[in-house]
Amino acid sequence: MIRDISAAPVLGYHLGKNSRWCVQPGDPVQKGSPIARGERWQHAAASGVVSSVAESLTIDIQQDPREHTMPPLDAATVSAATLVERVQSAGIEGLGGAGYPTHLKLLAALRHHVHTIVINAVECESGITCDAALALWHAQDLSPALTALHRLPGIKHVTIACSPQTRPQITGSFGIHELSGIQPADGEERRLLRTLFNTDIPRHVHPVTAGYLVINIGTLLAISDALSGKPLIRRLVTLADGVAWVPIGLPIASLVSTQLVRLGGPWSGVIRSTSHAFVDKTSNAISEFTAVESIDCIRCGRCDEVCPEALPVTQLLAFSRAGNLARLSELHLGSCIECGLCNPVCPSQIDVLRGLRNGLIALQAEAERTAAMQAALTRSTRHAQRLAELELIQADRRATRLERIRGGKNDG
Amino acid sequence: MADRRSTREIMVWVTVALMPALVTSGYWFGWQVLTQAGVAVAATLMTELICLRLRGAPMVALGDGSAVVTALLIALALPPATPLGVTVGAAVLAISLGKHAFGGLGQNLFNPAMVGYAVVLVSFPAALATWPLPADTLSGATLLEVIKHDHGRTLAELRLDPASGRTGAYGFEWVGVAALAGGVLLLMRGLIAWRVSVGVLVTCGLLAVVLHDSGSSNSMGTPIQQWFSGGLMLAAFFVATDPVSHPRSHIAQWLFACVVGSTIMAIRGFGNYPDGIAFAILLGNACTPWLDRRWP
Repeated sequence: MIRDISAAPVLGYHLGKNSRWCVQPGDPVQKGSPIARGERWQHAAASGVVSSVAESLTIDIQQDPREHTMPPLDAATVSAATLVERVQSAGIEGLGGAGYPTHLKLLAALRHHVHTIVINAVECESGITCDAALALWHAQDLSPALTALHRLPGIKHVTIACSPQTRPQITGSFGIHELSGIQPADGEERRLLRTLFNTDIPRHVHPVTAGYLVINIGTLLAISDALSGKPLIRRLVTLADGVAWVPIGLPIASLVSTQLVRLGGPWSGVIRSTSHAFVDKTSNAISEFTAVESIDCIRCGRCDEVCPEALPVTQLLAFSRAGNLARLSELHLGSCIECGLCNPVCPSQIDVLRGLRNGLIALQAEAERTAAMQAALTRSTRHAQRLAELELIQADRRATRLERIRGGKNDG
Repeated sequence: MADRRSTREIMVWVTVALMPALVTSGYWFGWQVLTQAGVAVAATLMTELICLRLRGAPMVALGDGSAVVTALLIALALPPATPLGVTVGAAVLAISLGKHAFGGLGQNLFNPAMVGYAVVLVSFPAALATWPLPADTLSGATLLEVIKHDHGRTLAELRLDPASGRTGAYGFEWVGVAALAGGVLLLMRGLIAWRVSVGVLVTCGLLAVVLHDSGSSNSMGTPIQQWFSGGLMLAAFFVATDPVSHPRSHIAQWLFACVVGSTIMAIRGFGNYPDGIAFAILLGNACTPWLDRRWP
């Protein structure tokens, strides 16, 4: 069985996008009762009292055997609308690591007439083992969610993509696709679809608009739980000593002893300080991190060779450091899937991925600036146009009136 | 973690791979080459220390080993009897002008050793073209120079010249074999870009065939003579393959090798200098930013 890590004396949560807290300091909460609503619901992972609601919400844990649940839904009869609503109110987000609200993904899938649902049990990074553990230990629990998803309008196929070693032992009206010889970055959404269906989906196109909905196997289990009435209050986390169920909201400092921590896999994870950091729905792996001193890049090109998307990483890193956004987009930095394979091969111990991510952030900011500028330009052009039209109309009116007055005079 | 070789380790391997060439050079041209190497290493490390201090850069870079590689390449490029002041000058210029002026390791446009060597080469062309010869233990012109300027003898007759060795140039042929062995070691360990080495050698070989002129008195020698004369093997495996100053993509590496190889042969065939390694490498280095840009 997968071990459980019990809650620390305090739990903490950060408010998600487009959401609001629905409890006040001093409010008692039960395990499973909602604490945030909106686009991203959150629920208390243990019973206790809300102690503060500032930039983060903290709960002091108190013993209380009661548990807040929702009425169970029958997977065989649930309607699409009810399913989407339940997924939202259970606070389900993509548990593979992306953390995108699953109900929005389902809505987009319905809107774009998705025909195929792929259950992704191929880790996005081979240093993470949540998907494998789930497929091995919780295969039976996946059935309700599989049934409910298969019944969504327009869905023709549901396929579980997994490695041969971690094939889930279940049967039903879905396919299982074993991928042999999985390479480290193959669990990435677009790469997975490329392997399975030989479809090339460009970076700027969301797979949903191409007819494919990819759902992580952990998310699938969360949907099963939601159908039985349990909100998402724990997740599987890959820790140094194996996979464990960890309550969402657990202070990360209680899992590691270092000042810095790597959230995410050993290659693609991001480095954060442990102070004020809590396990959240995207925490697929947590490991201790100690900074290493890097030296200069000697352009050896190892990162170029390992890049699964065949990007000129050496150049991208240099341009990213130099802030040359034009060259970054010309060299397709946007196709970077942030797998982090470039990091372990660097002989100079450079955090290459971090450099690339800085570049991606800069490109994103630039795109937003350009979009805002374009919008302002369009607005001002339209405004000028309207003024010009108004001017014409008024001139026309003046002319007509003048005409009438003159005409009147002539008549008189 | 995957196989992570540190930059320092790479430099140690390059240094190790240079050892056969250094020993062979000592055996054929005299053991002063070791003095040259020692002086050059001391001068590069000292310059590195001063430059790092002046730039306010972390001292950890002193231990990355790149300065030692630069020093050894300079020591191998200079004739053993070169005045030590010239050696120190080359070493100081290599590290200061060739490397730190551009911002340190990895930032340099040109190969530092070749920058230092080229400056002293244009300053003291005659002294640096004179290498020890066997017969009279005096120093003289190398095979490349003899081939270029001696239009009175055919290639077969030139084979009897003291500047000729068994197949290539006296002494240089064995240094070349040793450099080739070291280069193969680096290739097998995946530490250098094989396309660059192979590209340089193939380009030089093909152009040598063109310039061979069926062995007449105007001949520039056989491909074997070209490969195993002067510093071509060292250049192909240890200088052109400096990852900092060669381009990254495969096609760009082939083109880079073409530029270097054909410039070497152009200078050997028609230039004023007997060998053109340094200038060819510098020209190739100058093309690198454009090659990287055109074929990313």
